[in-house]
Amino acid sequence: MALHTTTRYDEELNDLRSHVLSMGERVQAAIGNAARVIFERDRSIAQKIIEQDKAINDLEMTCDEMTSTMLVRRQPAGGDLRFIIACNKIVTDFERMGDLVAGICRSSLRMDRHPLPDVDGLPEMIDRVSRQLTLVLTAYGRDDMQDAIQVIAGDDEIDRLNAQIYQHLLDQMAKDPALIGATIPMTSIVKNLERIGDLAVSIAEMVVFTVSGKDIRHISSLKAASRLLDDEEGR
Amino acid sequence: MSPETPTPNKAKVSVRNLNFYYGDKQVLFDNNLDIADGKVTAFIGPSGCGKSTHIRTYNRMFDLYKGQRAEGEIIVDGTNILDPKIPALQLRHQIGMIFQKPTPFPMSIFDNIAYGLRLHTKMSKSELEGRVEQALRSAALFDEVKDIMHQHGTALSGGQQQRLCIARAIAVEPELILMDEPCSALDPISTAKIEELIDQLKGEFTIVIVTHNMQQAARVSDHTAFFYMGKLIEFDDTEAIFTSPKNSQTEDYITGRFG
Repeated sequence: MALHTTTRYDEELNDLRSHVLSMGERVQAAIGNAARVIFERDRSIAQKIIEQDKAINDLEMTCDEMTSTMLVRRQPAGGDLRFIIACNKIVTDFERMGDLVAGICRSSLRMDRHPLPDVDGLPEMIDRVSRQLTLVLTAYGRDDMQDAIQVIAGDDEIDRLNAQIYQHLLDQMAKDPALIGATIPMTSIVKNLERIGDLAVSIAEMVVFTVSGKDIRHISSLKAASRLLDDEEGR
Repeated sequence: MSPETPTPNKAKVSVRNLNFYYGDKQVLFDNNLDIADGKVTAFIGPSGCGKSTHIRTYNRMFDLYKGQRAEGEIIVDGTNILDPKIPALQLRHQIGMIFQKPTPFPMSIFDNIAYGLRLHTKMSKSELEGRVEQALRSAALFDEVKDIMHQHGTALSGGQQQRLCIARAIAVEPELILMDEPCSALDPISTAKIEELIDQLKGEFTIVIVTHNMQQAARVSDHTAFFYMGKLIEFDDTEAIFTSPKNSQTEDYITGRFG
């Protein structure tokens, strides 16, 4: 797309994008360490991730300030307006993700020395959530609707794993009360991962909105997004 | 090219294949659009895009200048007003116009409004006074001028003068009000008053406004037409034009990526 007549406006938009990306990368790095925190019970990394959540919160506030300044100074329209509105929502999603990852670390610390239940499927779930985050960052960074749609499509498998692992955890607690100490925190870890997956979808929907101008939330967004993509290609 | 209509509202004006020439130079190219009845339609576009030329065809302002001519049809309530058989005077009674600079007549505030009324209809003094007051009230000016009705119109502030011109236009109950950059000489508060007035007048009147101020178009209009180099590039609901325009030239213009 052509540059703005006001070059400072382009700089501000680029600046906003890099700040949002930097938020996402921090969340991504934290999730990348989730397996180590949970399975290797690395307390120091867990603590570090909890502490670093503050930086993500600060970035959210910086981005909010940037968007409100641009709304006032630039009175954005068209694709710029959609991008700025989307950023405003995306930073809230990333901030929530940051809280959820910190929550995973706290739950992990609460498991303490209790024996771990069997969580077959959890490494795969962590891996999938992590890949969703990578993909949604690419989608956002490049305004790529195709990647965004892949993120939306990828959430079903995470939901399926969530249900499967949760049921398995309940079964184990019923059979062996000695596992309860670690299993209760483990259920919230799984729940948090599932929520992070949902937030990745919410960000992907905002990417679709930025690119196409269509709001696909709360309707079967995968179908809606795929249809949009077909329309784009048909043009 | 089929006419563009943003919404299926009844059309007050239907423009068909409008071409316009300044001598040999063509400046409008096959403009087709419908102006919805009772709504506000804004024309936007860079300088020289033809938006003012286009609006000035609706009351045949160009008749006043040698060498200017329009081709095509402009149908207002079933009549092609480009037909030379339609008298210009009748047309300008039917279609009011507000210009960039307020143009009060060099006479009293009262006579500014009464002039047009006397020209078009015979009425008693009390009826005339009633109509003048009504027009001033509709233009949200009455309270400010009720005690100085016999002072010169030019003694008012710029914003008041512009509202006086709007009162003068609506006094003769036109079908359509054209506004060519009505706020570009006004301060923000006077501008806000005119915009508020536009909002109050729509419904009863159909309004077409040319503006360089895109935010103004976004604030006041129901439909927006984007012109570029004499062509109507895109015409849609205002919200659609400013959030998700379909044409990349429109997008470039409204986002400030133009030239």
